[in-house]
Amino acid sequence: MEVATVAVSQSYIGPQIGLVSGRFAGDSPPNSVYSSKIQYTVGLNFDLRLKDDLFLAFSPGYAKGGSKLQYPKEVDGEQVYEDSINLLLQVVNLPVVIKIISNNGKYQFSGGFMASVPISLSADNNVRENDITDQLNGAAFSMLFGIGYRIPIERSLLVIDLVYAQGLTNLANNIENPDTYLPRIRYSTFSLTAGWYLPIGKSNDKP
Amino acid sequence: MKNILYPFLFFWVSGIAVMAQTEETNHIPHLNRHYFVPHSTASWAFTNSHFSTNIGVATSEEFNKIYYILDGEQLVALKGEMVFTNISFDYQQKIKDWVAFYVSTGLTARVGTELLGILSQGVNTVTFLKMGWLVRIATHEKYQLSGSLQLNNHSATFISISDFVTSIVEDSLITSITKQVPILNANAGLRFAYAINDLYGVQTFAEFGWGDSYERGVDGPNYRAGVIFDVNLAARTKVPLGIAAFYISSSIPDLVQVKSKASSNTGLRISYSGAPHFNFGLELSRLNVPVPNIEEKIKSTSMVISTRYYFN
Repeated sequence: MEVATVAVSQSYIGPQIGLVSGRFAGDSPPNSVYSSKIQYTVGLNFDLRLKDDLFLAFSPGYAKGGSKLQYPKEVDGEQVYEDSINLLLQVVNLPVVIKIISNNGKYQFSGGFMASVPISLSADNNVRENDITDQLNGAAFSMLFGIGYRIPIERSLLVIDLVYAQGLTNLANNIENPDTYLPRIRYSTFSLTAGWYLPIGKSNDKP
Repeated sequence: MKNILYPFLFFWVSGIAVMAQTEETNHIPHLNRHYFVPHSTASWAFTNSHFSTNIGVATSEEFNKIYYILDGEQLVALKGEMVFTNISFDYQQKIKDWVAFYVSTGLTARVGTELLGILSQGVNTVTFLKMGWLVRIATHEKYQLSGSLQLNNHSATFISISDFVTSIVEDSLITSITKQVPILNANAGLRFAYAINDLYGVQTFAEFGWGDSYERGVDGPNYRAGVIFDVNLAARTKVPLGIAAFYISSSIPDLVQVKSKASSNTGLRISYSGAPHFNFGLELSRLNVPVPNIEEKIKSTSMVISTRYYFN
């Protein structure tokens, strides 16, 4: 009974917000390359303490991200890649990670998986915007690696978290495009978030 | 005269360094007073922090292929050779005694030489980024068992004359002579280290995964497994050397660019084991690598210079 009380009192819940630098990687349309695009993410964080230095975390959130497509242009006789098309991706992210707290309690290291349910994908070339959500191959899965800095503020925590998400699943809808050429496109992000973690339940001696 | 004395001076100083080491000051992973010899590509069961660099080159034996015309009459026999080069940087950070994060990046290049090598293999480069988690599962005075979860992200660039010509002749299609293929794999594995005594140790690992192959639209399983038997002479003599014999087999699509086939790497490593934080080694091995368009595996002689610096 006492164990359950401790486990609940030392868990956290709180909002988090941050920047996302996303980029498609892999096969791009002919003569083009992908570059990164910075957008934002908002969400909630639930940290369930499993042991003194171990948490199971679930952080559902909304992310607006995407990537840029660059095409070459001649500038002073040299070929330079310039941003030409904005690919805007909106997703609901459902990450589940294990967080390991360092011995001094200041750092957290996280690893886990994330399911991303796409809401929309559009292509914008500054003249017109096309919805190309049907080009996506359904939900995407990513593997997560993160490092964070934990700043105690009384009983709560401010956590600055840098997370790399490497897309595992191919986003290209090869069923809809049964060509001989089967593209492989994955979506990877770096996110820098700030989260305010509030303790759940009774007093918390160990933030 | 001075030049002759230098090697003796080196071993004498190194011998003192070995004698001065204690288990507390030596950061090289050890069990049962045995200090293990690392390997440039073998998976390591220990969660200590370290940084490694590996530079390797391999040259193949001559290989042949006979081309036939339609009625089966021999047309022409060509010969070829290949050169492989590899450079990689590995970093592992211990987070707790029982868990570490690691990342590895590098480049592998494969160049065909002689006419058949150039035509059938062209010039290929593969850049890679691997990262993963290593978790200690069980530990004992004599052994340690760890588990790993790893992501392998490769980007391959091929310059293939034969594919270019084939597309023109058979499909009447002019395509690019260069081809790029992104490849992603994930694998999970077990790593085991066993110290027989202070002199002898055994390490073994097995990893199984799933992911892309070099052929588009084809996913599949892959594996990597190996065993290393090492002798640390510094444990009982003043010679600061470790010697390891190893065998590694892999079907992970980095060096192996043919689906459902595996490479093998058999050889010896000689390491300087006199320093408490540092290991320097030379690996000499025989590589058997399956390559596209050639039925038999290409046999090569490989040399790798490898350094590893341990933090804690």
